[in-house]
Amino acid sequence: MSEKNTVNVSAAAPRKFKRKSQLEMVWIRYRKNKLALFGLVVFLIIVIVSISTPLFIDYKEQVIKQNIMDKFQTASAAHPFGTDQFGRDVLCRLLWGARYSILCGLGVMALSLSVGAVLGASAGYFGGAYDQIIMRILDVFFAIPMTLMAISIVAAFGNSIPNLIVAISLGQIPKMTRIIRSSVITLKDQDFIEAARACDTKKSRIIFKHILPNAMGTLIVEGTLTMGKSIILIAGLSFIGMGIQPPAPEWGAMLSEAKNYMLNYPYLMYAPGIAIVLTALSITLIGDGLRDALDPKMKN
Amino acid sequence: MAEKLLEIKDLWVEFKTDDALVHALNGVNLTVNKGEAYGLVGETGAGKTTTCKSILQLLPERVGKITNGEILFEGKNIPDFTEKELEDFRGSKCAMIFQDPMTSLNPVLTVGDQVAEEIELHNPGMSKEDIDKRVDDMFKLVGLLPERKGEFPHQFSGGMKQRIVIAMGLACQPDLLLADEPTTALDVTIQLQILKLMKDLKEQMNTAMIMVTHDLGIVAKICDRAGIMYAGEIIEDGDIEDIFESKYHHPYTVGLFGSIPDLTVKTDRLNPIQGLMPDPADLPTGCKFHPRCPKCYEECVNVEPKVYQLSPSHMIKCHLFKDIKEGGNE
Repeated sequence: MSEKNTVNVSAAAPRKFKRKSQLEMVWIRYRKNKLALFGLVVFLIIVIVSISTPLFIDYKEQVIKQNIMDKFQTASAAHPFGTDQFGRDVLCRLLWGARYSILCGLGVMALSLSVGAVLGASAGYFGGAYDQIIMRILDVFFAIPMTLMAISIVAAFGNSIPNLIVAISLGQIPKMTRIIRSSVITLKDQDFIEAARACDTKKSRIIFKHILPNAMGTLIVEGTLTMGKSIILIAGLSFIGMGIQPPAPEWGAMLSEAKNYMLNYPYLMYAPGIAIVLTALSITLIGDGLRDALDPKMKN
Repeated sequence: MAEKLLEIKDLWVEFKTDDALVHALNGVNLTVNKGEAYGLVGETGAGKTTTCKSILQLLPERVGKITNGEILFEGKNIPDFTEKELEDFRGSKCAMIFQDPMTSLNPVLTVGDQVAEEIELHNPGMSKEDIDKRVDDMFKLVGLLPERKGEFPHQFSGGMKQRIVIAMGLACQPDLLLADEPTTALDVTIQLQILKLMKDLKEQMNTAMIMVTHDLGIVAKICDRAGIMYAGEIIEDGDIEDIFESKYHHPYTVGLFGSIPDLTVKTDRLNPIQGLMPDPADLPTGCKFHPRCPKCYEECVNVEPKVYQLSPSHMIKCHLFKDIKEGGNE
């Protein structure tokens, strides 16, 4: 106790500022939000699982190999989540399925965020005819329901994973662009942007260094929401047979197969259903926590 | 005679909005010599900030336009500058300090980064350590601890933010500094410190300065020359002695001085100039001040006054002085 007091007194003489790195500060603020922390843990587990599954699961042997003798077994030590109508282990399939969701989710987020940021920021900053042209074209896309558009693109170009990512991103880009554009418009008339122009910062630098970091909160929340949404959308597409096709253990496809046996073997639906919800939820929670943590104006 | 740094000749600026054509500047003439502080005084809406923004070519795109006149910086017309010349001009030859320190710093960048950016942009190839050292020097110069450069703008008080803004303005040692009401957002004690700082810096670095302000006290304290602005034109211009000591003044200047409360005389009410600034979208005919002028007569309503040179340094734009012309302060 007494030691603490003396430290406080002597600290007044040579002022030392304890310096924490940017990342440390973000982490300290993020840590305070317990729900976000929960989301992060769940998400990390899912990511680790999706990366590491090939190490301990053999796709040919354990994931898609049919074994009719073992069909519809309930939970046991050998098959913790039971087996499905072809005798395949549900847990193995579930773990493998995480890869599809995470890959597609990240792909959609990256694509729609980068296209949306470039289009939205330039439209908002330059305004005028350029803005009008871009926004009117995007309005056309906006008018088509997202799922419908994804279905038609997949139907036209085939249902490979890159096609799926593009199809779903196209539905997200207009909204993303709109959000980024509106935050750029409110930011660009701020005094500090004018100050940046007064010391002749280049336009691209103003947009990417001065404006976009200020819109980062919105960007991150939108990005993560988009990721969560697109995971659900992919599952939905696979559920109606337009996405990733069986026998690949995509969660939506697993649900779709399980629905035929729903009345007799409902446990088959629990695993993929809960996995989808948990993934989407954890990502949304992370987005929420990050928005607060990244804002340097938030009081500690 | 001092060397001319900036000369504005008959500058007209219009803002075209959807419902009106706003005449923001109507023939501004002013000269700033090297190393000299020029005070620009006037009511809100007189065109002081517009003048500064015109110099830096920062008028809002598509809305604001220079319709006539020249802005000569070291003899070259700024509106004719190419993109490249403008790059060279902004920041390194001419910098601006904005009115409100609360909003003119980017909230998501550390203050050190913001000062460093300015130095980096105008000294390409400068090493990271040199930039760092320069930032430290700038912080010390404006009386801030260099250790705090890693902090964000919201962690500073208003007066400190204003110092940072000044540090940014001076970081590249510009020849001309446009200070747009740099002390309006501050209280009087900080105001004094900042003004003292600016005066010292001006003397140390030999920077010319245009000081935009409402406050004649500030002009008296740090400026060498001053111009009184009204409705987009400079109606009186002169050395600081001309503005404060001469017995001839534009009626508007008389009104401005009249509205400053006097410490030695007991009064119950302040003594403002009657009326309001004219709507710049609908300016009066003749002399733009005539609806408010106590000495207005017929000619003022119909004929725009000429500029009368009362002494080599002192000029007034008012009909009352046409008979005096060149006679000095007699």
